[in-house]
Amino acid sequence: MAILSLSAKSLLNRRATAALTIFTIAISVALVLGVEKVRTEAKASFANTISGTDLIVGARSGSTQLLLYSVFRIGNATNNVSWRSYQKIADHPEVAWTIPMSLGDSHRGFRVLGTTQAYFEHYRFGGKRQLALEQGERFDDLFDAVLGADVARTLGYQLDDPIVVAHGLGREGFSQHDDKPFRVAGILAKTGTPVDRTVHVSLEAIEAIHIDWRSGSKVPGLTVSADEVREMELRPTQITAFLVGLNSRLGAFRVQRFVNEYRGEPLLAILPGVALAELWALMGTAETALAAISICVVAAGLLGMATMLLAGLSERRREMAILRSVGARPAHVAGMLVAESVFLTAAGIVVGVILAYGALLIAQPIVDARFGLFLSISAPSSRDLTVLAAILVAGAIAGLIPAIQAYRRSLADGLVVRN
Amino acid sequence: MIELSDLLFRWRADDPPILDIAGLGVEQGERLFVKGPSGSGKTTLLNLLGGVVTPQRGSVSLLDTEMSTMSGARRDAFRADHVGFIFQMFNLVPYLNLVDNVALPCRFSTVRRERAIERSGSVEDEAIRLMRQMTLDIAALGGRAVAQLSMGQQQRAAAARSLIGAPELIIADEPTSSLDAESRGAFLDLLFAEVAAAGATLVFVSHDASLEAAFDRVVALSDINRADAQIGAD
Ligand SMILES: Nc1ncnc2c1ncn2[C@@H]1O[C@H](COP(=O)(O)OP(=O)(O)OP(=O)(O)O)[C@@H](O)[C@H]1O
Ligand SMILES: [Mg+2]
Repeated sequence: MAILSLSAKSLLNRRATAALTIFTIAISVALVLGVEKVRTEAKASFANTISGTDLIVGARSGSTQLLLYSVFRIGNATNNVSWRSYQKIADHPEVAWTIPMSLGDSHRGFRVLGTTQAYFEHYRFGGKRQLALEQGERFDDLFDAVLGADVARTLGYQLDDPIVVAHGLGREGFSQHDDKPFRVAGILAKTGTPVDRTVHVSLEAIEAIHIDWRSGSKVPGLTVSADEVREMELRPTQITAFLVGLNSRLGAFRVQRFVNEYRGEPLLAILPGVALAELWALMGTAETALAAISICVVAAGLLGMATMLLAGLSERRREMAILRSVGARPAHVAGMLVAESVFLTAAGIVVGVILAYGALLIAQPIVDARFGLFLSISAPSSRDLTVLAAILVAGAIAGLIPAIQAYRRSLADGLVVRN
Repeated sequence: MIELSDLLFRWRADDPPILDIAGLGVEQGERLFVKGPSGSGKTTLLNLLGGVVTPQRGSVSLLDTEMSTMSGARRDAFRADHVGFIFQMFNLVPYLNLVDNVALPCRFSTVRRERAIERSGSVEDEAIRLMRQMTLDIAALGGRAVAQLSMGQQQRAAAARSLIGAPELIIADEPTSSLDAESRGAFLDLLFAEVAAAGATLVFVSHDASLEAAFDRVVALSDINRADAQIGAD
């Protein structure tokens, strides 16, 4: 007890260095908490992207690739699924519903997804949540579009605004389907998933805008106007992929085998949960690297503290000798340095937590807008608390370095420090 | 009070001995002056008396308690309870105020804390009383950083600290060397008065022979120390 208040007073006496040390530790603590926050939120939002879907079916390729383009709108399908095969599988007795998806066009950097009403009925994210419209209606007319929340916000679209879909996935300057503009019929509520960054139209609309196109470019001399196309029978010949819901989850493996052994064309069915886990494991390396970096930053901060205390020792030899003369044991002297380390680390943790929440407050809208990742502001998780406790312990251990040195010196010096 | 016998001490195992003393005794209440040139081992002797180091051979006993066989922690506790130190300079801990500096020994010794409380009601009040005795104007000096005090003021504060809680032995290592002749005399008078009032024993080390007249007994370290190594004597 005698040494605790001595340590505190001694630190107060060296406010400037102590404050700098605390700040160094605080920054490293904030970094650790930040990385941990991003990691858990990314993982959660990742796992929340899709739920309630039993199988994802696409042309045969890698399961990760299929998951990426069908759910995350990242990358492209190398092949399509014929409408016939789609219908065969949709008619399988164990299949309850399907959501066909036609990808490949874009609007100002956002993907356009051609689908059916089933999408609004059956798509689930974040547990069992259904898509909800913030404004307007689902698409009804052929040239109706329903925007994800981020699309509407970023581009400043209102209901009934006209939008033009571009052929392909380039940002601008691609050939535009400007002869057949769409109308914003609805805007979806925010989901925190790639749905927010998607423009939804009907499958027929995708067919309609490509009616006078063949393999990626307009057929010269063939123009079908928007009004003419309304009169035509628009039946898709192929789609990119489709989501499948089953009558019973138990049938998942059976239907998966049915799809994978389908003779009409090479197809692949994946279980979203399994594919998500595989993909997350793939990112595990990045996760580990980030964790390793933040551990190193904390270690650097704590070593900096040990250095500061160690460097201060030679100045404090007289002080230690005085304490020895009034009856302090070398262990008291060492304990004083450990106590100082614990004070500094604890203060660093407190300031670091404040910094982390401050940074979170500032970064939240930016990260949300740029990466579609919503970092919720919540109390530190039990894992965070464990990490903070571990840092405190590490701080005490780092304090052993100057403590041992002080112990040795006070034994060697005796009562009078000779220079 | 103090009994040294057949004592041999070297700082490091491969150094020649600094001290080799056949015997030295100090009576309760005695004021002993130990003189010797610089580097002769005076401070080393005080380290031994305070139990900060132990001899390689022989015994050091204080208040009929053999210290050289005690564990380090027991010796430290024993020193906290029974010995007050005054050094030549740098007596005060820079981050403590004057009162806390004087009260410092009471943090490490329950005996001395209880005696201080018994005497003045609280440790702080006893510290203030002793500083008054040592003619320190606590009202004027109390708020100042201790490093800003004059040398004489610092030494008087150190004397007050050595006396708090009435330890049986006061050890002073050249406490007057950094004072001018005038304050030296005044300091000694105050110290003697307080040591006498507390009934304590005083071991006072100095190479300043002009002070010896005031003491009960004078010992020249060179007369009792058979070691003549004095390595690194400066
Ligand atoms: N802590 C120590 N570690 C190693 N050697 C020491 C230590 N303290 C003193 N010595 C050595 O012991 C010898 C005696 O030193 P000491 O300090 O006892 O002399 P002193 O008589 O007090 O001198 P001064 O009058 O200068 O204070 C010196 O040679 C010194 O180098
Ligand atoms: Mg000396």
